Amino acid sequence: MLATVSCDTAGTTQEEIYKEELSEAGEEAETELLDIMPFNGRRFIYRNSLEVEYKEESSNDNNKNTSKYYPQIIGLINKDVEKRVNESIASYVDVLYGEAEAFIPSGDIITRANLSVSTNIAYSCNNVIFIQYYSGASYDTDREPDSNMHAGAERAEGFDLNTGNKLELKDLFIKGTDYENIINNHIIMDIIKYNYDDPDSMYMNKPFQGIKENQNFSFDENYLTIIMDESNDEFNTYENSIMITIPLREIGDKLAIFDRYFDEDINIFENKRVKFLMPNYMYYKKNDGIFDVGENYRIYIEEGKFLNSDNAEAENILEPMISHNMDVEGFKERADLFNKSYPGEHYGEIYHSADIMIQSGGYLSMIVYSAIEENEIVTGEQRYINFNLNNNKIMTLKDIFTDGYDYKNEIIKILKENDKYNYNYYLYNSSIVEEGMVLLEDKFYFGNNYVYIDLYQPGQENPDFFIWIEFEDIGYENLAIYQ
Amino acid sequence: MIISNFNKKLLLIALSALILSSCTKTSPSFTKDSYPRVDGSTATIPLSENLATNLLFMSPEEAKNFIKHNTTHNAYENLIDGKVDIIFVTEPSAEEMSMAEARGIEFEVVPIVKEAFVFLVNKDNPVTNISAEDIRAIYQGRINNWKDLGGPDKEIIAYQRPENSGSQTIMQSQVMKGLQMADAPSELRPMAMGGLVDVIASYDNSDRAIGYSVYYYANSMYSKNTIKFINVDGVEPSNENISSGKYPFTSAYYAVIKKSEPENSNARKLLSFILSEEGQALAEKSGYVPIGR
Repeated sequence: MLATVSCDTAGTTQEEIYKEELSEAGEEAETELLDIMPFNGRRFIYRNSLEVEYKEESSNDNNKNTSKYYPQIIGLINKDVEKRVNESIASYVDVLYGEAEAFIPSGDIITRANLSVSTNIAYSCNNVIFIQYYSGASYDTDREPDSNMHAGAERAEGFDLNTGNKLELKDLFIKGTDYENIINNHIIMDIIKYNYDDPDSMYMNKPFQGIKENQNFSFDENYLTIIMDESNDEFNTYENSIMITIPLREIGDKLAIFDRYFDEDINIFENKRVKFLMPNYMYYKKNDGIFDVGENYRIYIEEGKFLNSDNAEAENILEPMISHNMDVEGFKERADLFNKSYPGEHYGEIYHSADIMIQSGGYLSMIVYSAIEENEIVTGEQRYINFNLNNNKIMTLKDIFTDGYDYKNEIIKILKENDKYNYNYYLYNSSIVEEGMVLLEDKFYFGNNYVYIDLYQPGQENPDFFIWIEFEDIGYENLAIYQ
Repeated sequence: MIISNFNKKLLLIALSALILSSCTKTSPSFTKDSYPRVDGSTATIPLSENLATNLLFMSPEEAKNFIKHNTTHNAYENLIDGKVDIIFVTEPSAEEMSMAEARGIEFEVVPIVKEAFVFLVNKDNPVTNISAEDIRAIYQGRINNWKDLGGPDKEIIAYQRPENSGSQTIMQSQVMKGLQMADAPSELRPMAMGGLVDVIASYDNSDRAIGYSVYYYANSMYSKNTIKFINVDGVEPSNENISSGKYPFTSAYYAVIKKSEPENSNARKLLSFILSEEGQALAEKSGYVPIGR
């Protein structure tokens, strides 16, 4: 069972103290006092309340196309830190642009050149931000007009938004953690997994020797990503860097990044922070199935299981709901019999899939679809599974919202007042008929930022009408899943 | 200082020996232009680069740009087409031999460093030794529980490598020697666009797993804290046992040239250097196992 402790509960469950001897001269030992929440109990973190303005600089001059695209953050209370981070981002974009430009040879006549640096905000939570940079260059020359010589690189930088300081790998971990060993062991297993250590590997030039001192890396709420670049000369990174992702679940309680730079009582932003649901520690993974193509039939059945589970109660409830219950052998027998009478003619298909909409914050929302087609007759069903792992209860639509929030009327109001939902258009062309319309409590699904509901219209030819509503429009204060 | 006649003679002999040894030193003299055109397997890139660094007095960075290996099969093709002079590869396959024969070319295949095929288990697996015959039986599916090897009562998951990969080819030719391997464990991985794709499952270092790799990579790279190598027929895969041939699954990387390569050609000079004491010391320093100590 997941721990029910949340970030904003006083007296957090775990305290980590690390003492480090600084020198034999007897200097005062360095200590760090951190309240670390257990990884498997962390339901959410806080999205940094920043606006992002993207700067775009591009040119097209004498067969040379260039572009730079990078973010500038707005919204820190400390404007000096904000300026420092923004200058650092812009400056690094220039550095990467310079590296890309150096790839273009100076002696030849260049008939075409493209240079670009683009960016992506990989993570922006709990007072930390990670920017990913992608630089690339390509060119043709008069001697080789279609050569399309090209090279690219990925980089990333993380910033502590309290100070504007850049983060190093060690800053992600509790002090004293042998993080290099953790990372190197995972990288080696990935090398085996992807067969990079093949004698004829296209990806490696020599055996991996371990991460470097200033190892390039990125971070988000799911993974620590190690970016192998030209300094990792064991890897062939000429055209692209090689990314190796380490699920945070593997690192677990050795992570300090969610707590080291964050104080719930101190908001460093001009605007209020919003919670962000963290991926569940216990999670469903599709890893098996029945896939069979016969002479006159096709079977596609996805299967999976829950991993990292210490919640047998939840598994016992969910597994029958997620699993298929189709008679596969019976179907195959009938198909075989049909084939004897009608050789070469298509008999049918069985299909079963389970798609995850969200498994974060202690919640699970899935759509399970099963269908069987035999002799052109199709029978199928779609099940909506919404489950609260925090109390092991099946959720209905009302459980998404806080008590007292009149979601039935408020949702319709939001749909009518916001043009982006086209609700009024659907009303106008009778796709939606409001008379008798109900919001079905068991026919919905949700993600990190939205909920899809069924505006059910009994008596209509097509009574189901699914429409999505963003949580931002509902207001996070009205959402129970964000409390 | 007075040196006795006897000591003078000794000094003379020593000096002569020193002069002689430096005169007969085996390092050939190359320039970038006269250096033979080289190609090979990925696994021999470090050897190739270190040869260039040493013989052409290049920096490692220069050598990295100078040496280009195009993988084993492409290297054989380039040798046959006359695009390169010498390649550092695994031994030629039947297909590569046929290609050469069709063009009237004979290969000269010379082992230059030893290689071995090793079997991996979790370091906490109590099994430390498996006979070669039992390894084949595992991969045929005839032995499928660790208890049959003196280990715990657990299913053996015998992981393989992708079909047509270098490691899988070595496994089939050198270990299984024509015996049919059982179907590899497979797993479903999500595809980028949704759905699942069936792939060969990769070694996961669980307590039931056995896998394999080439010694050159495995010995340099795999963490001894988590993975251990199985002894085969009681012999540990070590540099010494591989070099001597005592370890059963020993092979080599080879220098391959055309038999018609002239006697004093630069390719033959390079090959001679590799086989010399100095060349073998360089190979060992590059992480390879020298040929027959």
